Amino acid sequence: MDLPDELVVDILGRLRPRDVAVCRCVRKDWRTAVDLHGLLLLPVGPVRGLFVNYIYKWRNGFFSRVAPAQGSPSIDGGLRFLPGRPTNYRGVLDHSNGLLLYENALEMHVLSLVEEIYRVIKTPRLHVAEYNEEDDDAKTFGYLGKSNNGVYYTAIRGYQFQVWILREASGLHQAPEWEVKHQANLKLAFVRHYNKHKIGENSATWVLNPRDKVSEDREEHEWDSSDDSEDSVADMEEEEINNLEGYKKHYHYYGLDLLGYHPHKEIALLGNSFKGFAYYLDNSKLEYLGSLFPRFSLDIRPRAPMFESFIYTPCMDDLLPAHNDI
Amino acid sequence: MATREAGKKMIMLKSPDGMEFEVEEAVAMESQTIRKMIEDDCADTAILIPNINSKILSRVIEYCNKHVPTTGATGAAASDTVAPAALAEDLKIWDAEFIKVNRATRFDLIQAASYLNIKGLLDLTSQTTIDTISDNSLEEIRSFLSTKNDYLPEEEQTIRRENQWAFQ
Repeated sequence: MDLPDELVVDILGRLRPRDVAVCRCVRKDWRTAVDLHGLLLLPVGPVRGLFVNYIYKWRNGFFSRVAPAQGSPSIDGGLRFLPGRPTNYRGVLDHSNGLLLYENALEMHVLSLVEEIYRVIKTPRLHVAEYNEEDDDAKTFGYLGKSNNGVYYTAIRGYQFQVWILREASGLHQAPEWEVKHQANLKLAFVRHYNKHKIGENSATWVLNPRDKVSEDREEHEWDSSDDSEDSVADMEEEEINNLEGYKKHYHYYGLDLLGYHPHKEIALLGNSFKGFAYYLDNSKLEYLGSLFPRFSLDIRPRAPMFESFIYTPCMDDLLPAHNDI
Repeated sequence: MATREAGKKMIMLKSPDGMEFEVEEAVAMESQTIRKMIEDDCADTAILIPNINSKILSRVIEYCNKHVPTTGATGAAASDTVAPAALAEDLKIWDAEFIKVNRATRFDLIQAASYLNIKGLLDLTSQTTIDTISDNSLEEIRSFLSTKNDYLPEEEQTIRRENQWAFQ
């Protein structure tokens, strides 16, 4: 466009985010215009209220001003438009663009609060064919999350790990379907890790609260997930690494936690007994990241080490290469 | 040249290529830039509009003539006699015809609308450009706007990856 910069910015600013992203790739000066004026940062609406999930009677509520601002519709915060009585834990999981992701007895609901409509997407059941006695007292935990390809549902029972991806319906009036993305029993992978760990074979690349440590080397602890170097096992007999008995004596059984998904790559971050791991879905490789054991004193080791965790990614604005080019 | 009508104040607009346009003050004041000049008394005889040639200026005046809230001979607003919805529909059709110009003219109109601060015209001309971009592929946008790609192949690959979600 043979237009002065401010008019290019004006036009790019009127486009929808998808088109802004494409225009960013058209020419260098368009990229600069997009980045400099933050045209790709989605605007955030005003705070409308706060969703609260109560433990008592599995209810939830919406904490907001007595009267909504002029022009904005009133919201049924108790979600009374949902049919039936709550039979199990119900809770608001997340929201985006006015849609609410809601869980009811491991069923996922997508709600539109304004239109008071909803859609139920049942979560799949974990296939328990590979049942073993150690998983006997284990419960199945379900996690909803997002990665590169969309919405993921992860079910974990002991060391059984299964991931589904939500496939949009192809035909009209068809519900979206869960497609199995990955299925594994990770016990052996963890046994191998701990047996190697015992002889100091694994080194941590991540630490908890790096600033608290008096680090001798000022090396950046930025995790490079593209580093494929296989840990050396040359000095150790395969048999010893795979030894289930040795592992049992030294380590508690905790089962797995899902800490989160890598936003761009097919990597699940897993927790096991206060340790963090990266698990590559495409090649089933397990990589030890480091210890998550907090420095504050713990008299009793709780059975479930962590309550919740979130992946943190820096603001896109910090990472865009245009800033370095100028 | 427009003939002077009784009771209507006229303003002379001059383009840099020497053409003069006599327009009603109300029409000229569709431009917030000219309105400010008139209100500040900077426009005694004629206003020189820099950077806008006579061809573009005449089209801008055409637009303002159509969009100025017109008053009939009796002084009653036109919208009293014509249903507002029908009037708006009529304007929309007129706008669609008006903007059927080549790309270079459209970009000139965008610049003129921006300089003269005529919001309606800026929205109209920008929207046409937005429509050529919306939902099109990178290659289509480049070709529609005949803009050149100044990325090296490897740079383009990297930036496409950064914005991958838009290409799916």
